[in-house]
Formats: sequence, C-alpha cells, structure tokens
Amino acid sequence: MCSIMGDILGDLNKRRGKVLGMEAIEGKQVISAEVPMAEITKYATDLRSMTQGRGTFTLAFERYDEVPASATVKIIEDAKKRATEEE
Amino acid sequence: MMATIQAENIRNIALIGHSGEGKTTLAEAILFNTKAIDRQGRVDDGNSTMDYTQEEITKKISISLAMANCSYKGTKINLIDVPGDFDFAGELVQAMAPVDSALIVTSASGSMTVGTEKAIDYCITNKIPAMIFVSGLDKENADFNGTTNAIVDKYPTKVTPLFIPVIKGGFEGFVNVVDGKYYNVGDEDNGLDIPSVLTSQVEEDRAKVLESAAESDDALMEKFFEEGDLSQEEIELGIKKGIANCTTIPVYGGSAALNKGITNLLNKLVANMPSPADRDVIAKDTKGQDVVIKCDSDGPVVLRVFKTMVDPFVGRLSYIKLLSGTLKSGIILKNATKDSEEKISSIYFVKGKKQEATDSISAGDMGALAKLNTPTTGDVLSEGRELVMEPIQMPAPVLSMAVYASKKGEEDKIFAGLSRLKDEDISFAVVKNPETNEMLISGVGENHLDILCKKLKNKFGVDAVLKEPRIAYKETIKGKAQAEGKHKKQSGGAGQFGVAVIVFEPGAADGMYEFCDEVVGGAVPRQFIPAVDKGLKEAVKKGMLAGYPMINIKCHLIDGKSHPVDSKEIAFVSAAKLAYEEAVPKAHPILLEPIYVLNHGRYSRRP
Repeated sequence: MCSIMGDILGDLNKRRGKVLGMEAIEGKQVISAEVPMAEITKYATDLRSMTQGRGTFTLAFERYDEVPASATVKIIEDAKKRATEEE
Repeated sequence: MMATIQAENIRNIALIGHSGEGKTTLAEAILFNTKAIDRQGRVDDGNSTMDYTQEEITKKISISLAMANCSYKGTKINLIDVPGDFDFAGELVQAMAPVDSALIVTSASGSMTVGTEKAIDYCITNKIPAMIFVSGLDKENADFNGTTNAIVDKYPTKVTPLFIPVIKGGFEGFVNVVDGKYYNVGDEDNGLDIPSVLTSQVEEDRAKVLESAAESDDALMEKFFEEGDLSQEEIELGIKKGIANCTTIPVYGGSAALNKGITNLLNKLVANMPSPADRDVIAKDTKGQDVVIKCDSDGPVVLRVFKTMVDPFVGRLSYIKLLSGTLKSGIILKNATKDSEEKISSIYFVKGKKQEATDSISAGDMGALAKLNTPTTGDVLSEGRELVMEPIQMPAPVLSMAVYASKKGEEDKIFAGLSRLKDEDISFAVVKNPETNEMLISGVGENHLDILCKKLKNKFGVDAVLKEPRIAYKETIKGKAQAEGKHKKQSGGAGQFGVAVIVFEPGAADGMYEFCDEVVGGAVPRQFIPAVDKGLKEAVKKGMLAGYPMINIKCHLIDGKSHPVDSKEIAFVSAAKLAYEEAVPKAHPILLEPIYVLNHGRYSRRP
C-alpha cells in the first residue's frame, strides 16, 4: 500500500503537481493536489493502472498560473504549428 | 406471468463484482435453472440473456446494466446484471438504487480482485445486504480456499464462508457448514452425511459461523455464551439478521457455466436475502419533509425510474421499481422533478432484451414502462402526491476528450447522436469549450468514451474521432511597457491618420481587461477615444506569445496625435493594435495555464 502511495506522489511530482495535503479517511489515503490541466488529461487512465482500479479522484478548476519557462517553448511551437495548419 | 405477488416473496438482487468474473454467466445459469429461459447461452457465443447489445456481443463484456426476472419456489427474483468494468460505474449506481441486496460474483482465481474489494466496500459503506458467490469451481486450478481466504483476510469480521466445495477433477459436491450436510452437485436439495475427511474442517468453519451468527443478535449472543452452541435454526436466523444488517457476508460457490451449485445458491437467496418489504424507502415532499414509503400493494402508487434504455422496437423504456401500491395502465402519476403528469399505458416485465406485457405490477416488484413523456433516470412518479428522492449520484466524469467527426461537416450528426445516447447513459457529458472551440466529451474512462463512439457508429452511422483536448492557455504580462502606435495612410485618396501612445501594465480591475483614458489637452480627440478602446479589446483576444487570449492587462491611453481631416475611427483602432503589438513583447509576457485541484477520493455514497 505504501509503495502505491509513493508511486502516486512521485507521479504527481512528475506532473508538476503540488501536494496540498494527505489524510487517511476510513483506511483510505486521500491526497489533495494542485496540478496543471495539461499534465492530467489522461489521469483517469494512469491512476487506474497505478492502483489497479482502486483509486478514484475528482477534478475542479482552481485558477490560472504561470507556465514555467521550460514548458513555454513547446506550447508556443505547437500554437504556431497549428496556426500554419489552419491557414 | 404472475403479476400480483406479495412483496415478501420478491428478491431484487444486483450481480456485481470485477469485470469478466462471471456475473452475466451466473445470471444466465439462474435464469436457465428457474426455467425462465429454455437454453443456457454463453457470453463467448454472444447469446446470453443479459449481454444483448451489439457492443456487448462484440466486446464480450457487459456495458449496460440488464434486468431479467424468474420464479423459484414461489418467489420472484429480479436480477440486475451490472457491468464490472470500472468505466461503467454509472450503471452500478443506477442498479444499486432499486435493489434490496447484492450478489458479489468472483472467480476462483485464488486471490481477491480489485473489483471484488470495491464491491464489498460499496456494500458495506452503503449498508447493502450482500452475499458472495465464488464461481468457476470447475475450472482447472480453481482455488476456492485461496480466494475466500484472501477475502476473509481483508474483511475478517464480516465475510463468512458457509460452503466447502469438494473438488476432485471437477466440482462434485459441497458441504453446507450450517446444517453439516454434504450435497452432490445436481442433487442440491438432498442432504447426505459429510465425508469423514471433511469432518474437522466443517467443525472449524462451523465454530466461526456460530460466532458470526451470535454476534448479529443479542438473544443469540446470550444463549451462545451460556450454552456454547446454537441450533441450526438459530444459526440460520443469526445469519439472516447479519446479512440484513450488513454485518455478515456469507460465501457460497459453484460453477455458473456448468450450472453447478446454482440450486443451492437460489435456496440461499430466497431464504436469506431481504425482500423489498423489509425496508421502508424515504422520499421527500415538495416542502422537503420526509415521507416514509411503505412497500404496500394497497397503498398509493409510488415508483422510481432507475434506468432508461432505448429499445430499437419499443423506443424509450424506463426501468422502474414500484415502491408502493399496485400499478395498472391508465393511472395518472405526478412527476414532481419535471412538474409534469404521466398517463401510464404499456407496462412490462423485462427479460434481457425482451419485454413481457403485464396488466399490473405490485409493490416491491420491478418492470419497465414504455414511452413516458418526460421522466428520466432517478425521477419519482407518484399517485396524487408530489414526491422526490435524493438523485442517483453518478460518478463524476473525469476523462475528457475532444470529439471530432472524421468526415468534415458531420459534427452536427455527432452532437445529435450523443444527445440521443444521453437518454440511456447519464454518466457522460458533452460540452463545447468556448475557449478552445472544441466539443468535449467527458466520461468515466477510455473504454467508456470508446464505447460511446462505437454506439455512434452502430446506431447513427457516423464516425467520431477522439483527440486529446487542447488546453485553454491564456497570456498576460508581468511588466510595464509603453509604445506609440502610428497608423498612417496618406498616399493619395482619402487619408487615414491616428497615433496612440499607450502604457500597458498588469492588473485589470476585473482581472481581464481595463482601459483608462488619461489623455490631456485633446491629443486624441474625444470622439476617437472609444476607437482606441475597441482596437485594444480586439487586440487582447490574441496574446503575442502564442495567440492565446491576453488577460489581466491594464491599458492607459496617455497621448496621441490626430489630423483634422484624415483622423478616422479606423485609424485609431489600428493605432491601438500597433501599440499593443509593440509594447506587449517588452512587458514581460508570460503564458498562463489552468490549474486544477485534484482530490483522490472514495466511492460515492448510496443514491
């Protein structure tokens, strides 16, 4: 069980997530985190394979935040590529 | 088909558990055993009663809940076969709304599957009386003990095996731990002496059963303490109480595919599972006051729609449970949720894809109504009163994909198809994202969305393609910058001239866009100030980094120039845009991305 928690937290970290809190409720670990949308479009699928289907989650929009410089270049490239495709 | 039946003689049971562990096969065996069907179909052959849709036959898994009924020893059993795949969790919550108990089906793989664990958790959390059936005991390497031990390890106080299989080559017979008799498969009503090799195991198991039975009732506990034993009748009573209170979950077993152990299971379902008469249902009136609905055939009619199906022949079919009264055609019922009335015409009992017409349905029973005008899943229809119930809590759609038509121009067909599919499946949502202009379909998982696309193809002949959704990035500036935008066209013909000097900085009053006119001395004539505002409003629709909308920008128009003849609105609109384009790259522009709060959670509560 602990290793699964470690996997989930490590995975959230890779997704640029910020863990807000962890709590054990009725024997289940409940994690709360802030994650950029761009990193969790397929989270439903990934969490299921990490937890064999045990994990469930909800998502709610929170706010807009600055994209880190490392991710900016790709977003700009993609947008330009799409703009030329659409023309 | 018998229509009037006492609620005490009805069992409404959902078959739940991990995907592919034999729920549909068990339902088939039960229906065959009770002569509700003439031949036992197979999921693999695509001819089972419960998996009848095109998508289910192709994929060999259940996708929608399916209902069927049968009679056994004077008791009517309504079965709901629930898909085990987690993507169809919406079907699970709909199925659990009407039933009075659950039969958790697992294979004999030697371990506890996640689906079994989730099913047990669901029943415990929501206080749904449950039994476990370990199927596939005839398979090679079938491991009944390994499977039950794994489950008991996790739920030691609740899960109680009452069944010891005898497997020699095949599944031959079993011991009923409660009565201490051995039964041959195929002759499951006829108790024999237990084989001597099993005596000690039966003793051991019986001791655990005694404790479990005693714990469910104070009087039994007292007697157990005094005498150290209970009679068979007392154990049966204790187990029945334990099941009803959801403190005992007994385990039985068999082989659904080979129709072994099914009679024994049916005997236990009839004897020990609660009937609809054992539970009052609480509804609310329009003032929000609780109304207790007693399961009484002579009471006023109250029914609840728990699932809507679209039948190719009958059209929309509303699956219902009659909570009270006796439903006959011609009656007019109120739907408080939709503020409408329904005249009931066709009433059916359901057996997979088939409907059997009936004159009436009595309290506690389940059936289907054709062609209701408005009711949708979860609504209550009531005679004379307006009643509502807590809505059926569907799982939140957590996976969104952009849906496109593979043939251009068929987007409308897709949208129309999806809205028809929403009749049957209320666990997905379709919305247009105004920011990215994409049509988004949100569901429980990848399989769920895939199946929706297959249904679009099969039912409406339209090909949909799913793509990763675009992210609605935005842009803003972190610094301050000033620029002069000069629009000048004075080479022949009517001229255009306008100059705007604008300072841009972060921090709009509404968080989006703010314009301040700080021009002094009429450098920009009054009548052209709105043109600058208009030009900026158009400009901020696209940021300078990647063309995403610019937000939280404050624009100060501080100076400008005009020409008595050539200054026109269009010149200042254009000048404003030029100032924006020049200043923003100098004002430390950044990209913004949407941040979501992700909460890992638990199963939703009972609807």
